[in-house]
Amino acid sequence: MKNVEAVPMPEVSSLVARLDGGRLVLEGTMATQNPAADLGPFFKAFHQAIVQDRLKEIVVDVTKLTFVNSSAIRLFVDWTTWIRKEEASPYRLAFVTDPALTWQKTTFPVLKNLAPSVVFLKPS
Amino acid sequence: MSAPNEQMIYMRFRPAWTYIDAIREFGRAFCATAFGQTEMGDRVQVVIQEALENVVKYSLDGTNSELTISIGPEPTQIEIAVTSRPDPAHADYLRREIESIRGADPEEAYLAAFQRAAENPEAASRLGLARMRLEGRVELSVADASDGRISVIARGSA
Repeated sequence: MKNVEAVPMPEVSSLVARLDGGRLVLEGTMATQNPAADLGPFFKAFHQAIVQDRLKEIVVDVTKLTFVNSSAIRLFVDWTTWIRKEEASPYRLAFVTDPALTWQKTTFPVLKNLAPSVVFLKPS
Repeated sequence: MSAPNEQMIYMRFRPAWTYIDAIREFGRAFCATAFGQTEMGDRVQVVIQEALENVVKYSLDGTNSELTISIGPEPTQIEIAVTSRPDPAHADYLRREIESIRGADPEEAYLAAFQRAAENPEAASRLGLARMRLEGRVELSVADASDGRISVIARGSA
């Protein structure tokens, strides 16, 4: 986990990102004008750190991520693509979701359909 | 005169990113209250967010935009219309994309948009319209105004 723990968390005012017991916790909203610029470098660095640490699974807790725009959803799509292209050390992306949040109830099952061998859902 | 069940919110605004959060939150709270359903507010906020982002990103300089939220005449009916003057290329894209997903299963259309994004990592996301249909549970259409502006219209029911 040493590489994962060394990744600087993103500085976006509407979002709190932190590591908690090895899981990535995202709280707040991700609806900036350009999430690819604001958050994309963080997700890419986080992915690369997971690969370097040879983790088999990373848990992402989004239960308090109350709203995202579609450009931010794109970051999750990109993340699954990076993992699918990772031949040396692929890993599972496990989202802890809150089915009471409409956007999570609809978007994460579709993300799971996009990458069924990569994405796993754990309703809270 | 409106029927007793009809309500309408109308806003005219400069298409600037800084307004989106406030307008989305107002629309969410208004519709959650009007329909007595938290989920209805959640659905509406997705439609407002994605529609306004399109307006902010693609409107021609110096033009205003309008948002109308209409409830009724049946108490379960809602229509959200966003009117703007986009650049012609984007207007063409809106017409084509809305036509292509009209009638398609909303979840399959959203998945197809995900697949397109995954296959074109450098291209724009273009997930918003399919997301509006699935998460907002609305059907989309485009209407041309006589002054050259266009309206993206989302219709649904509680």
